[in-house]
Amino acid sequence: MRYILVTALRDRLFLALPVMLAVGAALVIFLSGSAIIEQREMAAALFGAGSRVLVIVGLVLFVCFHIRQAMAGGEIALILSRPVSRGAFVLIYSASLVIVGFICVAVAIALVWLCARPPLDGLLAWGLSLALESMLMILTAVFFGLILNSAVACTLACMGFYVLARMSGLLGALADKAGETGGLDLLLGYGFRLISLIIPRLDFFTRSEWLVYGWNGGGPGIAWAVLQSLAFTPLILAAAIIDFSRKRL
Amino acid sequence: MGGQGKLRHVPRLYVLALLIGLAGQLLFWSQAHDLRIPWSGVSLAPTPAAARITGLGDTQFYYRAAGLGLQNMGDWAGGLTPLVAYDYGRLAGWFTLLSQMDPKSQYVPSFAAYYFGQSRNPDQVRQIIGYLQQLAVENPQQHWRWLAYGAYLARYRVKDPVLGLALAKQLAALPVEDMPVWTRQLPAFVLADAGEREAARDILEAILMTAPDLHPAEQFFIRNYIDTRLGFSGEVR
Repeated sequence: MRYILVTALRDRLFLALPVMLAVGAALVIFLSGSAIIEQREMAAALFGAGSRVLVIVGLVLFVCFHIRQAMAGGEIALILSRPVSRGAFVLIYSASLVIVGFICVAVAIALVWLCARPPLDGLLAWGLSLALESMLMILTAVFFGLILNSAVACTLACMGFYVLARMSGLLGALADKAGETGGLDLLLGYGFRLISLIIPRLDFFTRSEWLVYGWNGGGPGIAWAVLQSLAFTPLILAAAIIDFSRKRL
Repeated sequence: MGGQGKLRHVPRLYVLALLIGLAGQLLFWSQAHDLRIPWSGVSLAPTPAAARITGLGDTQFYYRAAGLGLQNMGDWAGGLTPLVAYDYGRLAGWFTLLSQMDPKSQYVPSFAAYYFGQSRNPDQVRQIIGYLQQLAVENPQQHWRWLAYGAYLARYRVKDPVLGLALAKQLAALPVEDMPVWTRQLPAFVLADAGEREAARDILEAILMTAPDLHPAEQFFIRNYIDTRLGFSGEVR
């Protein structure tokens, strides 16, 4: 844990991400002031979505480059020379990265509160959900970081995964529609459905409407985000452990 | 290890290259800073699915960001576009799409009515009235007031009393219990304005008879309106 925190400090994660979030907050306050009504709601929705993307992209970049650097520098091989199994290493390493992610999420929550003064229940639901979304993306970045040999490929894979995961609900709906027309659309529909089976439903997470109307804003609630996290976390961790156990360092 | 050395240790050729690059960039700026990419007009509204993809599944974010974009569309970098230059058919498509994404918010209806509704072209204002009417009919509890504003636009912007009366009647007939009494009176006011005094009186008398728990001040207002504005003094039943 201490090792991860030190590297996060060394890589200026705790400086760069809050500065980026603060600049984003200033920009959003300026932009939302030009809305003819509902300026607070405008600021909440724009900063909610913007800070989510900044936190996720920042953490994915940090995790991917951190893992590749640690692999190339032999730090991971050094840790594994101690009496610790590869499975335990992946678990502890992931947990430490998730704690780093939670620190960044806390900064985003504080800035959303300062910037938009959302309803408290909505902010709590949004913050918890952002923490869970960050956790899933950190675990995904750990998975790709441990199996791919390039930080750039790992980052791109994570970003592609994230976009698909945010759209997976819509993909499922499109798959249902494609199934009705037959032919090539039917095949595409099967493809979409296969993708949406494995990819988590991140569209349940961190919805800006919670910051606007509170957590009872309509649609699936926070419980679905918690259930999705409970389902996907063991899956991605097990996949990472299996792949890392087979890897030659 | 690490850190930066002194600038004077950098070969002069590199510094010269930097200065030439800087001069080139300043030259470019001097020629290009007044150039503006012309506004290409209102684009077609996307399908709901495409809009959700663009917003990465966050419909509230898309609603606000696209709404802010529409509000400021055509007016940026010191340039202003007259309302007559906008394609109101496409604008109405955008308004409808966005109001489907957040049926509760008053943001998009507000700038549609108060900003784009100020056009002097009656055909354009009819598009806005159509959008406001659809909004109010689909979600009367939340948006009944836009029907009243539509009646105002029809009467005073489009100058179409028939449309104004139709909208006022539609508003009066909405199944919303806590609408203020003036919404029920609106058809009478529109009729009185068009010179149909007897029809206006009939509506107001019907309100008096069917709403016995009306506040005394409201009852006084209606009787006074029939007496003085409609000119049926002493005839109220």
